[in-house]
Amino acid sequence: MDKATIKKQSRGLLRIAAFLLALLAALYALSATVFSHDAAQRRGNNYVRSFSYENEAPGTVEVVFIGNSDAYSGISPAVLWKNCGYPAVVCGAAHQSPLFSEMLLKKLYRTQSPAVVVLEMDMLFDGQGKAVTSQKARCPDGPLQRLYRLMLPERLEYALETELSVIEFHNEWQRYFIGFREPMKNNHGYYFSKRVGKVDEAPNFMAPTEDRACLSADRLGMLKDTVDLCRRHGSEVMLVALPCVKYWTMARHNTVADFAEEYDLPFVDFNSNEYEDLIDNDTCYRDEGNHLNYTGAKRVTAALGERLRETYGDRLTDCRGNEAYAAWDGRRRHK
Amino acid sequence: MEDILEILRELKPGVALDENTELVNSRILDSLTMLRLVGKLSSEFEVVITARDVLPENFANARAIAALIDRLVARRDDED
Amino acid sequence: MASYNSFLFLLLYFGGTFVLYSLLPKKYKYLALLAGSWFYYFISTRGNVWALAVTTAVVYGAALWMDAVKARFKKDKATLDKDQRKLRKAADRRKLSLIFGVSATLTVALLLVTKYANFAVETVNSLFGTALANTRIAQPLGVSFYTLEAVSYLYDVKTDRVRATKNPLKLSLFLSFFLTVVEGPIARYDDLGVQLGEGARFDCDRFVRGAERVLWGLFKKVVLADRAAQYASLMFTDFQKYNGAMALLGVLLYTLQLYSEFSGIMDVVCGCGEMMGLTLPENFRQPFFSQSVGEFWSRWHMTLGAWLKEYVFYPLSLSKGFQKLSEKAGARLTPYYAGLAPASIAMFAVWFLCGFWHGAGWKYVAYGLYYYVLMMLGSYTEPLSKRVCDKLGIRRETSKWFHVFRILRTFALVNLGMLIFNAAGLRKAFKMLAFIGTNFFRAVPGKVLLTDFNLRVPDYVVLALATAALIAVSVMRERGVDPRDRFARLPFALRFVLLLFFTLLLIIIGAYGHDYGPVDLIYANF
Repeated sequence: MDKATIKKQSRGLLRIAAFLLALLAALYALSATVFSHDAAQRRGNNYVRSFSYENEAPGTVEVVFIGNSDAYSGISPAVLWKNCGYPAVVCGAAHQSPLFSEMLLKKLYRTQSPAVVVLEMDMLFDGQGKAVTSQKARCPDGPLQRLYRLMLPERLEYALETELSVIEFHNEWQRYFIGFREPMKNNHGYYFSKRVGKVDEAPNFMAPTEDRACLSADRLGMLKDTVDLCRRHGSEVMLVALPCVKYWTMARHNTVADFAEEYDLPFVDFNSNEYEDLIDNDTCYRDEGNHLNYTGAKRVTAALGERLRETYGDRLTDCRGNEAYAAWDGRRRHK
Repeated sequence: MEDILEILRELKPGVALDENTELVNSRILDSLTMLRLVGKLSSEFEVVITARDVLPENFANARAIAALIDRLVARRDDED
Repeated sequence: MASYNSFLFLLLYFGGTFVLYSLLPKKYKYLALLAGSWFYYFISTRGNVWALAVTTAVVYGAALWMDAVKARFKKDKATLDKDQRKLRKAADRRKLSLIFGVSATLTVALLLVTKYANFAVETVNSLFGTALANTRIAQPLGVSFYTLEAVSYLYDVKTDRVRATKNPLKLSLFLSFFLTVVEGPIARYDDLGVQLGEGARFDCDRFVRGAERVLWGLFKKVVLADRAAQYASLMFTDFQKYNGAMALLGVLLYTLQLYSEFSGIMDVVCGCGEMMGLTLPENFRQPFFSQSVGEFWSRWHMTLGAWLKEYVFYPLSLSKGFQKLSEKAGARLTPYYAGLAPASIAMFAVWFLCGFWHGAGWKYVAYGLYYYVLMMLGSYTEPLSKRVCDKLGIRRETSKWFHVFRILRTFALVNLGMLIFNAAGLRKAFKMLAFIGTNFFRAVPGKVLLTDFNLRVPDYVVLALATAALIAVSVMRERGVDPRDRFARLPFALRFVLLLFFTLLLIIIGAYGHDYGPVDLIYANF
């Protein structure tokens, strides 16, 4: 190649590099301004609920709840604070996947070090169908499986989304034309609702069975990756299944129980007979059996608080009276 | 060349053709017309046109066809 | 599988391969492409690579064998006299046909078994009332595409169009090339195979041009196709709830979706190739400007049409058997129809295969034969049509109105074909067609447009504007103008800003994320 060509190609390469840098800068700028999490909250975008931890002061959160809409409807950190004094946050959004949860936890650990992470298990089965199998649920592991999981297209997509919020909330542009929703209230990630939707009929969905709900190969692997991540950061992990008459089954319970046994994790299933009297199907659901309302959340959170105290009492601190948490003490009502 | 143009005009009356008219891309020669053309060319010039010879570059225009015919005639004579 | 419009594909698979490709010396660049292709294929299929490996091995061996037979003849030629040469040639021809036949059959058999086994089982079950179980064979990624490329390579070696390659890695690269294995284009060895093996040096201008094409392709896929898909997919499953006009819109939007997606992905793939100095064959040439169904198929999925023409239609219709048939017909029918007879049979094979290739189902066969019937109708009524037009004084070749009429007619026929293609079966297709006719004006509350389809008012506006942009660019290309040439003449700073803006626009108004239903690549399952 002659000198002129080298010069031309170098100049071209510099221009391409400049373009890529400019693009990145623009994406960061958009993610910090128009498409930021704060802006999304003000416009009432429900999906920013995944990042509720950003509203908490760094290093103050003791318990993190991760899950999908079941989690943010059924667990109230304010109630937990009232009962036990544990500062908590719910980081969940509708249809949140275990993989997205892992990505958001990675970001969360930059500013928080929770003692306990509680994973709600409805998100494991979201969109996975109703097929069952009699085989025990095994998490596929080994270098190949981990490579496949590493190369899932969603992984990079979610990683980019958590880093550059413009990618996740890009569609907010439409809101400027069709109007914003109600700004999101900060209840530490909890979705407050007093609506009552009575359950029509509760089939005996927890009838004993040896079946396990089928999951795609990666699903349990994603869960394992999340558990490993939390443990690496020194958090304890607890698996939980909130009351959900509409979608929970014994088969799903069994799948999670297998996993919990394999990885030595506590699993609390509020649908099981142990908690039969906890929930009243006539008053505790806001949509006929899928999501809890405030009445249900109060009860579940109380029970959950008890379990947390029992299991992790020595690691969790009751922060009531601590001046760093004065804001928590002052809160009386949900917004 | 003139024979070829005559055959083409027989197959596609009403279409203006000279030795440089684009035949394939303009769809003057679609698959069915191509078959008839091949039939007429092989009987007129007594050559065997195989599927391998029916390529867009060989039938792009009348001149390309003439070149193909020349090649095929040479090949035929070579083998006799 | 990382689809071509995903971040993972563009940044990692393509980006990583590109960097490696640029760093290696020219002679070894193909190894970068091979590594990238093998990695992509392995990860995407989770190790289900056996079918591709077997096909590659069979084709590699058979091609070398055929060349060896031909080489031996060349060596022995001088020592043989004329009669011996004739005998030897005939024997060799039979031998070559045998090698080709066996290897091609094996390759195609792999395709049939892995893709159509369940279809065969279902058909047998429904015809004979048996209850055979479905097989559990997973369809290998890209089997429909690389099988056609493998057969074309074998045929090209047999007919002296290309020399068999001694390098198994280069053949493997040709068949498994990560840019073409999922959705094509279906390439030939003497074109793409050779290019892949040679490698090309980095060139800035070409890189930028390719990148512009990639951006345009992403626009077509992510902004236009995925948006149209929100409406179309629901409409095809639930049309009963709405009215005929809305169902018709669903068909039109499906056609828009299919075209934007397929041609958009082709733009991404060809653009990526261009960025690396590779010229991949084109698959589309503004198909909706076609004036006949035959012309449509010479502008739509062009590499498939070319493959069928070159490896099925002409070999069949110019074979000895068919020539004899043509002579027999010539004796009884007018010359026009005599020529048509063998062509019609060969055409039937082509269209049957075209339909059948698209999917394991009777509706796909019907889809192919639908076009066969239309083309035969057109050909057989051509003399009549000409007489009618002459009588009415319509100058078919030059009348502008006639051209417009033909374009619209072709557009309508193609949309009808798409209805068959996308419906969940032939019966559902008929139901939908009947519904459009009988319930066209049924009253439906307008606001379902905003509640049922994951689309809001700005979405519909974007859909309309993006379609207008697509049409504008198509008109430009039909006139022979490449928009990138015009773009390249702008001053650098303006180009920089416009491209930046376009990329940001793509990310912001794309139809992906929480508010949209997921869209699967249509052609990736073939």
